Amino acid sequence: MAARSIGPDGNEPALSVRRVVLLIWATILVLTPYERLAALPPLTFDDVGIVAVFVGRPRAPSALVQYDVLLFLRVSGLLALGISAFAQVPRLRCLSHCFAFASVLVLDSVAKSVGGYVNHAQAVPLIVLGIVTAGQVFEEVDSYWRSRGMSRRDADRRGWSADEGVVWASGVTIVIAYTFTGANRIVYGGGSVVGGDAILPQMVLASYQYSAFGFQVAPDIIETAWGRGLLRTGFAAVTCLEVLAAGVFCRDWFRRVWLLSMSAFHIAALVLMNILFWENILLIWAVFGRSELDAAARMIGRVCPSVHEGARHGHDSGGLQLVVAAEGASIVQGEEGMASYWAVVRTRTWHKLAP
Amino acid sequence: MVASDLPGHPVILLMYVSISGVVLLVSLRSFSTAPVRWRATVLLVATLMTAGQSVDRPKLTYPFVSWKMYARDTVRPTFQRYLVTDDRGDIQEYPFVAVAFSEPRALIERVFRAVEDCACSANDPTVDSIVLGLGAIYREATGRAMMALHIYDVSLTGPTGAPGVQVLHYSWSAN
Repeated sequence: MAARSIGPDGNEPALSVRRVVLLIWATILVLTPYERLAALPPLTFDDVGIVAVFVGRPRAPSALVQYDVLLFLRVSGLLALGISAFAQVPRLRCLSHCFAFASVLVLDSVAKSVGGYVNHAQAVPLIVLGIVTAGQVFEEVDSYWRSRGMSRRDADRRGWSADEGVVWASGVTIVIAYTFTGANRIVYGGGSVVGGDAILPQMVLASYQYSAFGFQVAPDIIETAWGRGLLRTGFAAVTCLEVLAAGVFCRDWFRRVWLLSMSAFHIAALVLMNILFWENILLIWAVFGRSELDAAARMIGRVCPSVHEGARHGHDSGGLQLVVAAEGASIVQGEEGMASYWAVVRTRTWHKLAP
Repeated sequence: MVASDLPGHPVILLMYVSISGVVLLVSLRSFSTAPVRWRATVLLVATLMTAGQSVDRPKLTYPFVSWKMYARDTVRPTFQRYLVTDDRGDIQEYPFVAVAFSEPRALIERVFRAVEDCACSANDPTVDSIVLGLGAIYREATGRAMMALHIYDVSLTGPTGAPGVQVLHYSWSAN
């Protein structure tokens, strides 16, 4: 039986949270040569989370932190991510999700264990990958019960799909992470950080520190009075938006403002501090910006009618599915006026309404 | 109450629990028909994130880490520079992205911690073993042999100034 996360007709939005988080991790695995870490002596590795049980105690040799083992995990993890993204057989997809999650968890733990601190960039994507994997397991369990002619009332409740569950759990994860960040900045940093000058030296320092990007814009901006004012105001505004992140669940206008502001903030962090949370930019749009992505696809459909027409005839490619999804979204919005974003998100709605 | 007293303070823990509770309640308005298993999943994730934030030991609770970025009002106004001399005589910064694409600065800090721990400028077995590892990675990444590595601590000229004095902290040479 086809998994319900991809809808009764087998379609799934091309930019579903599931596919986006798989893409994020595939990119990280391609770009990060984890196996090279095996060249570092065991004393470089710290205990990290539950994976420390497998990685080994600090200052002791580990069977896992070997070049061949890490290379195998990286290549097989990449393969599993690919299978997870494209497999049509639900059981295979579930198994590959589980393997991909386990590989990513171990590899990222090894990477974190040799760092002087835990980089936050991968924390949310890792939790979301776990949520997506849980969704696949839930569907496989449902499928098992159905194959035995036993329907679980809870599983079938109002046609809830794993996609909805993933959107909800991922949304909560993202919002809690941003809210904690903003709240801590206010509580620990106070006025000197939020709205004060304390962030400016950190920007200058980050401009000169080693990085993959090499932007050195912040020192020039900070030299001017208007630049300092702009940075102070912007940082205070971002902190407020972080604290109020839960508003994305309540008001459509706030969700749009929040999405645009946070995207701009992450781009600014790249230019000013050489820090790029590209994973978070993709995730916040996949989780909270699906109606906007659908609208963009609709616009592309208008500009490129051949693509749009292809979608209407049901061609099965990721980009075209997005246009089909967008049409469903437009019908929902057309019928209900200021339709709730979450109504648009619900895949069963647009599947029901899609031509 | 000063900032250093805050971690573990009951008021702070209450704040974290309140934040998670509010986020859960607000989000539940949009997902009121959710099945029990998804409610349990979301509750579990929120609880683990709150626990990770409250414990404030990211390496212990990973991937449920504490979210405390740029919350300090003071920062050490120095940064590290790792200069490699290779077998062709070229001098360049050590390419940390070739080993830690996502977290080069975290790895830089880890190596520098070992340098600070030894409180020496050369010939420390611990630091040298790490440098030899970096050398092997350098060879694999660039195809060149690392002949020397000099680790500098660079101070900024004032809180928002340009890089100034460069102090050599540690030297390693293949010879």
